[in-house]
Amino acid sequence: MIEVVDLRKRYRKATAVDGLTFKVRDGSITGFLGPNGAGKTTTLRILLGLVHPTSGSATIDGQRYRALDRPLGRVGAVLEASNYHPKRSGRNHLRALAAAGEIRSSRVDELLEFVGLGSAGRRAVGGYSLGMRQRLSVAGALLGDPQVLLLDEPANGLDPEGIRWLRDFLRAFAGEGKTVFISSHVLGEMQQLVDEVVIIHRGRLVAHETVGELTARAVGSTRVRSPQAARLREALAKEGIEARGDGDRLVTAAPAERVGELAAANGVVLHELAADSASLEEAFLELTAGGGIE
Amino acid sequence: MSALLRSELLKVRTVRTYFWLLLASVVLVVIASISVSASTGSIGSAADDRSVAQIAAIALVFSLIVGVIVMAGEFTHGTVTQTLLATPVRERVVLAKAIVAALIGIVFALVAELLVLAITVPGASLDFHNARLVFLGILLASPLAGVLGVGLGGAVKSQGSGIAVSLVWLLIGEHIVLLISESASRYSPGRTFAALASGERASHVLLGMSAGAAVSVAWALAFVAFGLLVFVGRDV
Repeated sequence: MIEVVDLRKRYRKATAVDGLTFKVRDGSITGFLGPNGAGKTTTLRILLGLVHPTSGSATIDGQRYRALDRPLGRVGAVLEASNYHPKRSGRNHLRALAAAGEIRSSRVDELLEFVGLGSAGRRAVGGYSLGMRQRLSVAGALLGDPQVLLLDEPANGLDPEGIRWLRDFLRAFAGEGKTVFISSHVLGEMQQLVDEVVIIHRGRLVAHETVGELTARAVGSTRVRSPQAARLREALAKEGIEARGDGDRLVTAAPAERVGELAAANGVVLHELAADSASLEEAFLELTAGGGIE
Repeated sequence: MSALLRSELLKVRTVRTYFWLLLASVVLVVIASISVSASTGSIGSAADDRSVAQIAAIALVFSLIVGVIVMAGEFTHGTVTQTLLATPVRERVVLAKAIVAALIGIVFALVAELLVLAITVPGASLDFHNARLVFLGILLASPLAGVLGVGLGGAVKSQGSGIAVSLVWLLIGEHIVLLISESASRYSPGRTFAALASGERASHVLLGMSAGAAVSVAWALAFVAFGLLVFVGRDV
């Protein structure tokens, strides 16, 4: 289990993480969301022992990353895609990583094939596209066949085919009862993929719940199409309900049931009445007060 | 530790940087050795033998640069993240890199010494017996220079600045220390390594070989300790 308890990280002029506490349960895919500068990358790097926290703790299976025995066999991490020696081949990069992790070298070729870099593996990484580097990062993360995957914006640089490949892979990975903790700015993609979301803003926890709970809590909207839209707008306004729209179309935050009842009571003909549920993105924007999405 | 050493050696073998550094070292040693052979014709004294053998000390500068690159190159290319994911105990990473830099330092020293011998023995009648202490000193000093470089590389965040600091110190810093105090300059890093590689007795400008060895070891350990301290405390 990934567990973050009262985690704080202060830099000289800024606080990146401010008393963050959450748990990621085993066998789940949990999204990690927050606007730019919310502290997501810092939190992930603290979990991986790359950044020192000012206070608090971040553990995996009850241990700090530094204390894990053969960490590549426990945790795989996909961080930014630029951390390769440009003159070293992808295959040699993985071989060096495998050697340090005491992992059999035949696993390197298996994984290069798995991520679709079988033919490019012997080429220098400097000639790789961003998407190829991301695939190499995924291969590196899987070297030790870990139980936990931490991913920081893994879809960056991937083409639609690559994003689909990543999504299918993560589903299959989690399907084996393994844990995925993933930060991403592609909220639509996250809605399709994750079971739960941890949302942080200015280094603090804003929400930690399932996608269903989160979107249900957020305000949806009702779409109406009527040849008597102006009359309906007046009827809604009398009840204190604001509606906006042009011509025969209106949109309001009131529930569809209420709008339908008011239309019937006022003899307004409706051609369409539809309730739009809130998306993860809308829920996210509500919770973070519309801050820019990282 | 053997797994980590294998990994670090693999990193060295899979980029050409170290090969080019070895080649540059070879070119300089060959040019210097041929120049000596051509200009002197033959060597007259034991001091001349030692002086000619000291050409191989060129390897020390390259070993220092190798040490800096082995460590600081991880920051320059951002590979330090992957290195620490595989080996999160940073002290082990520094120790492995110090050992690898020392091994490369020995290779660089051996290559330089063999070249000096190959060129100057037939060309200028270098007497190996007179030069043997110089060669021994260089064989000890070169890996120590590599270790010192690793320490320096741990303290800086880019290999470029690490190399620049090294060269500026050797070309300017050492002379400034000499100008300030001749006796103190005998303990500066450059001069203690020079003393170890000199095969000479103590003089007013250099320590003796044994004292030079002791102080060189101290400098290498001090730099590694400092680099480790900075590296361990750094956010990556």
